Amino acid sequence: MALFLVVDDEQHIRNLIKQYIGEMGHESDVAANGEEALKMIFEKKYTGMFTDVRMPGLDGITLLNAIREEQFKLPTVVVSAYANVELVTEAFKLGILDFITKPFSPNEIKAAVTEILKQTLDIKESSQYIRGMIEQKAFSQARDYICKLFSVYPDSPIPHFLYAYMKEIMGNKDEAVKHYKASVALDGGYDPSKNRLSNLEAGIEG
Amino acid sequence: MKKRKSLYILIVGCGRLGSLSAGILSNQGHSVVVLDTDERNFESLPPEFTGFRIMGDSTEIEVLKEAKISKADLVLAFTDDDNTNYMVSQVAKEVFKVKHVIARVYDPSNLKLFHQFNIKTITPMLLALESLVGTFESIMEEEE
Repeated sequence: MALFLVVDDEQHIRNLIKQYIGEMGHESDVAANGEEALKMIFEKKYTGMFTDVRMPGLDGITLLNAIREEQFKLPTVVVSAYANVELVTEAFKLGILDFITKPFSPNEIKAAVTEILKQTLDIKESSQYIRGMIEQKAFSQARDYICKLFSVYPDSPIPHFLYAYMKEIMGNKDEAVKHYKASVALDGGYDPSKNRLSNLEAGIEG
Repeated sequence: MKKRKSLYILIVGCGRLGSLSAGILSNQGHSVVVLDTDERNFESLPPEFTGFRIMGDSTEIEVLKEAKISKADLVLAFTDDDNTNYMVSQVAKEVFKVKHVIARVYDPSNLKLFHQFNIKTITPMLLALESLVGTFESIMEEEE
């Protein structure tokens, strides 16, 4: 179960977002403005945050700036009625995951929760999860997750290993070898890639 | 009991029926958007309404897009004009592929037109008649 922070000056919006997060089996705390939110972020570890932009006191953009300055890693989705190009660009420059305009549907919030969870998956836990997907031949879903891992963990051997493993299961051995090699190049001590690579090469040669 | 899914519901027309429906549905936890041409009509929304208000003309596609009609699970065409309700219902069904559409129809002679396009309807006069017949039946039972 994940814990989210919902920041909006309108109580009913906070309640709606909290309700939809709850329907997915997760919990959330709420804050009515940026100051409250910042205090809570210092006190507790949140999986992700939903924030409005226009709020009395500390607004959403200032909040995002403050989080950035403190170097907190907090995947954030902005939920706002105001969606002009400048605002959206500014928010994305501050590293937000998504921008949802009001009014929003339950599905928009739930999709954003899934996106946040994808970002924050522990690489080892998610690698087990993705291996399961590959073995069940859910390739397109697995590819999405692997792409996320590539972007979040570009220096890790694991995304290359998973991509290679997927290609191997799909029957594309050349691509698989290429990515197993890339994985080993990133970490010469990463045994899963080394083992599968030697098996594959033995198979190819044999 | 199985927990109900939250829906995204667009109500076009914030008269008495629209505003009361908006209150009941948002109180049930659905995400409700109310659209009306006259901002003053939002004053009739009950305190339990926790959704969104959009002021605009529902016969304009851009206004319907602003209300994210394409994401709606249900559209209620509840203005006081059959023609507007017909147009909104048709656009919701045919252009935006909304699964469920219910329109308020004042003139029962218009019902056939709505039903031809698989639009569910509510007709206040027919509901009043049904109620009257029911009440009349109970009076008759008392008299017998």
